[in-house]
Amino acid sequence: MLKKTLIATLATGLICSTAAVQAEGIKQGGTLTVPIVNTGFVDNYNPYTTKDLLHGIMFEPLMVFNNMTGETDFRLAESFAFSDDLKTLTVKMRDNLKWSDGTPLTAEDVAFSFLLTKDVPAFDQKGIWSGKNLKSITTPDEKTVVFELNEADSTFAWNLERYHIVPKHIWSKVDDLTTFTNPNPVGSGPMTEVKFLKPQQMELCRNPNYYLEGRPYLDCVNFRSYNDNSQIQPALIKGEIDWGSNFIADVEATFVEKDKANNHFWYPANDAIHLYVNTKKAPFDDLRVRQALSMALDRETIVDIAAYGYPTVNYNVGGIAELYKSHIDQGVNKKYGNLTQYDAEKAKALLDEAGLVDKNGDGYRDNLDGSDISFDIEVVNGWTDWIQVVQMVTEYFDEVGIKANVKTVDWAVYDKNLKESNYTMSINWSLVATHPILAYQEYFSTSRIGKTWHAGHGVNSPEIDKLIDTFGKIGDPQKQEAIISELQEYTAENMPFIPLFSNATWFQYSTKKVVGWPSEKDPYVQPVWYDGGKRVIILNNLHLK
Amino acid sequence: MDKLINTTSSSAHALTKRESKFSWQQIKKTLGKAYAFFYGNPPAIIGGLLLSIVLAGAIFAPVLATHNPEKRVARPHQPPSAEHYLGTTRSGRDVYSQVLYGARKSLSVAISAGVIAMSLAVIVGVSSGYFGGKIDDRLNFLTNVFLVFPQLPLLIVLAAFLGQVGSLVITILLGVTSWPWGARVIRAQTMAIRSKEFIISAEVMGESKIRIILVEILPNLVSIVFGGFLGTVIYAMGSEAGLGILGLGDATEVSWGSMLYWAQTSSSLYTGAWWEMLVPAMALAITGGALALINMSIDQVSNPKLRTGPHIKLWHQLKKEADKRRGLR
Amino acid sequence: MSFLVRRFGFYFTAFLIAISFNFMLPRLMPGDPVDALFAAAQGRMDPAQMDAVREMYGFVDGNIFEQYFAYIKSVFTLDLGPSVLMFPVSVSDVIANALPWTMFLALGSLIVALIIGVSIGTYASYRREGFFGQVVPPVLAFISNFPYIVTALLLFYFFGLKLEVLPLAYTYDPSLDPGFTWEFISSVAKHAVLPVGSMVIVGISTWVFNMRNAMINVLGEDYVTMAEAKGLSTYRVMSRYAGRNAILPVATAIAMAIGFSFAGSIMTEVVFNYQGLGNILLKGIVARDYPLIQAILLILVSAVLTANFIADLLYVWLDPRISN
Repeated sequence: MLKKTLIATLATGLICSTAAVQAEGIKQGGTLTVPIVNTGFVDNYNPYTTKDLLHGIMFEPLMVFNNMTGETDFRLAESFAFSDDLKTLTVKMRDNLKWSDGTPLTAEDVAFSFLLTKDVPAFDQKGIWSGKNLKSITTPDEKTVVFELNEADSTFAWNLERYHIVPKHIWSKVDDLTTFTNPNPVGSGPMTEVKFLKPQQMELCRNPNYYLEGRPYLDCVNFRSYNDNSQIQPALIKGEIDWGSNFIADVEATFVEKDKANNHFWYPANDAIHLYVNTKKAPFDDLRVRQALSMALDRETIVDIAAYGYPTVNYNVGGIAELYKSHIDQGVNKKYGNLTQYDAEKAKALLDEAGLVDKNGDGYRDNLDGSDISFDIEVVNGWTDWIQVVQMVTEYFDEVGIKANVKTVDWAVYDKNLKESNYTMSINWSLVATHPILAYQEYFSTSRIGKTWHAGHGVNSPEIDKLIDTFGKIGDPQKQEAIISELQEYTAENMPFIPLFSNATWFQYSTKKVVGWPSEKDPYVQPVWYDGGKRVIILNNLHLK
Repeated sequence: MDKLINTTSSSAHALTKRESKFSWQQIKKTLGKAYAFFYGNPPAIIGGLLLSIVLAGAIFAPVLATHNPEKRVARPHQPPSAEHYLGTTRSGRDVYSQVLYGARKSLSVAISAGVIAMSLAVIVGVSSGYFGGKIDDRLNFLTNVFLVFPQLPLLIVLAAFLGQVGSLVITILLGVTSWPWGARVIRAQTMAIRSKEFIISAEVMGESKIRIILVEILPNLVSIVFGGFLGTVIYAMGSEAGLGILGLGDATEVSWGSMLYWAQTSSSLYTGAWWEMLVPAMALAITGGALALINMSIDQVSNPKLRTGPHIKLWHQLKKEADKRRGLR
Repeated sequence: MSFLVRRFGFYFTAFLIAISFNFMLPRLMPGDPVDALFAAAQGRMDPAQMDAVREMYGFVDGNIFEQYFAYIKSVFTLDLGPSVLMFPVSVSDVIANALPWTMFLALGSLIVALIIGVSIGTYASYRREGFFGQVVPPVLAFISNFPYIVTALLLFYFFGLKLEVLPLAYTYDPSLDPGFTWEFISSVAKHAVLPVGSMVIVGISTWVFNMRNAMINVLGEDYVTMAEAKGLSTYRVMSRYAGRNAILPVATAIAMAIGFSFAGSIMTEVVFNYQGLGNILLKGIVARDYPLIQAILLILVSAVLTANFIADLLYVWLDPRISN
């Protein structure tokens, strides 16, 4: 007995000491410097009116849905569970949560934070109130928050991540929340103390009452204001900032070369970029034409030259790409795979088959009725890499005899045309969300037509509408995956858009002073700077070298 | 007495014999004027030379260019070589061909804007200066209102608001906002000429107002108008480049401004592809500078007091001889 | 006196016209600030939120006449509302922070260009036949007439990037606190060299030629010859007789230039990321921040009008013929 206890004690002692050694290995302290593209800093710490700067830094989210690992990272919340009828969501908070001023953080603060977005609709980030499905929020005890829904919705929990949990004891005393600048801010995130605020710089330092022991390792985060990308590039090259999240031209030559040991970048796939086609306009109402145009494109070369090789080529035909890797149905990709393979001859053959030939001898194919085919592909003025992409696309279309033009338009015009289906072809992104079902909702749900950019292509069906609606009523993940597969098949079959590539997640980092970054070797989270949830995970992992 | 009459009639006949415009005499006269303009006037010579090179490049672009400026013809950001004299852009397009075709666009925008602006300036300025009175008051007011509008911010705001502004819109915008300066100067000059005797005598003789303006006044304004024209061209070129680099022009057209824009967005200076940015910059610089030199020389022609160089030398020579005669040397 | 009253009346009318035009301009443009925010957020904003945000910023549709009069009133009471770009900071505060830097840039480059230009111009008129008078003016004309953007880029490239002797951006080192410390002032000075330098290079030829031509014209006048014949010193002739008359066109040109240099500093501020009005204007345009755009245009117009009015005053003061 004694022996066992001895061994046990020794073993524990050993483990403890190794843990202690490890904990000792990670230095405490240090400052992280990050760039922000804005017009300067002002004395405003209201997370809702500061363009999402403070989420995940000053204010901790309830939980984070990590799309890269597929797991849910619980932060302030400990767990959540749906009732069997999927109409009640119960969220359990952690024990002993405190605000940075020492006051306890309870379920009351959480309920208050959600209720205030009902009074101030401008703060209702995910539309939980405007969607009219949320009936009530109650707090049966200090640690529990219960959301009552009108209809079953298994997707409801995904909305919770984006809302800011604010201290009731301060915010309930404010008259006008929209102009509230939250001076002397109290938060629950890793960096809550304002060290200083200058017009071009802001420094926030660690929360003395952060709920995670020993975290954050870093002491402070220093924000620097820049006009635009062209200003960030030299700062990154000179080593003035540690973490870059913007497009940098020729990143290998200008950044990595300067310090091969410490300067790195990693561009995992982000949202999928497609050429949306207006399927109601001839000749694009013919599926064969859309398929032919898809086969006419050499995606590798386009990505290489027009987009500098940074994005990930998208060969997936089901409407979702590498961002939602775990949900991609490889069977669908196999069945329809040829649609995204570069084959100009096949494209020409398909176009011939569709009856689009050159009737008047001008070198370009014409419509069935004899009129010239000449259309505009819309792109926003100033988005230069996309302009270059579209320019190359028109070159490839040219090679199969289809005349297309680049049309740069003002953002407002582009936005309106996409929503009102006023375009012929337009390059646009797809939705980045916790789960691809939301992307499909944006693509096909008839209720989204006129409200969103991705729904104007004209490919819909009442069955698909029903299918998407039933998703919220299903709790079984396997049944959910089956629905996603069916949606992928529908997309590949009907081709409402031509997939191009997945946008790159811009992420440059320097390991000169700070380490703990996510990388290709250690992909613990998608390195998206402007997403508070992902930001808080990274921030908590960074420490001095 | 008969002889007198005969000579008179023959000389009168000789006087009324008009010379054809394109006769050898006239050509020699014009060439002589040009020679006199350039003689001993190094700024004019240099300016003229540079401008001719630029214009030749623009006019003969289809012949001189080696590639299609709008097509991808090589790998991106190739340095200058035998195949691509001035290198390639980020999109793999030939910079040399682009700068030639871009000259066409940029110069035509600048020159057209200059023509529009000066035409407006002449119409407003001469009418205002010659007719005077109520017309002068109203036109003057109009001129001043346009004068006080801050041009560049206005251009930027308008260009941004109109979205994708093609070169035609930019030309019109520039022409319509640049005329007030010229109008003011022309008005002042017209008023000065108007009070001169030959105008009063023409009016007394009963010449029609239009004829007075066209035949008596305008010829005297030529150097001012031409000087103003060149100044507007310089300004319009600079504005087109400025708007272009901000991305407010049409990025899909090939012009010097859009070349700067693409060079800027591909961070060519940082990535070491300096040719993409500096070639259109130097083209703009040379053209602007050349126009300025010519403008400066025109000043000298119209106001002989401003002449320098050989004229001063001649004066010194003459002075020396005169002093010798007076016994001062 | 009536001359001045008439001029003032004119400027006031012009001001009203400018304000009205100012009012119309953003409303003719497609898109509003919330659309721009939406674009920047790339779809992470819920569409249902947009209407609510619109209300928050105060873009509610009212009768166009009501809006117009409310706007006129706001101009004269200087209550210009909150800025969308830097919500909820008011437009007046945003401008108050940026205006001094634009003035510093505009006036600073004007003064430097003036001093250098007038000196060179005078000397060149004096030494007309020499090397200075013959070579310097044309060379300056050539360099000065590079489009501004070219000069700015060349300076940026050679002194900022290649040689790295001067800073590339900002008004002063961002880590410093504004104050009357040597550190701060020297940082401001260092950061001002390239922007001011570029504006001086572009503006200098105007003064050189203005002064030179004016001096040459005047030097040929009879009363100057008379003064020389009387035996007055060259200095006295230059300053009291020639200078006084030559300065008239130059003085009015200066007053006008002040007004226009405010507007001209936009390019400078964009290239060198100088925190002045022009920079903010451009950002405001991209973000469709109507209150901000209108306010800045207003200030620029007022600057030009005021400068013109001062030019008229100067003209009256310096040229006795007009006031009589």
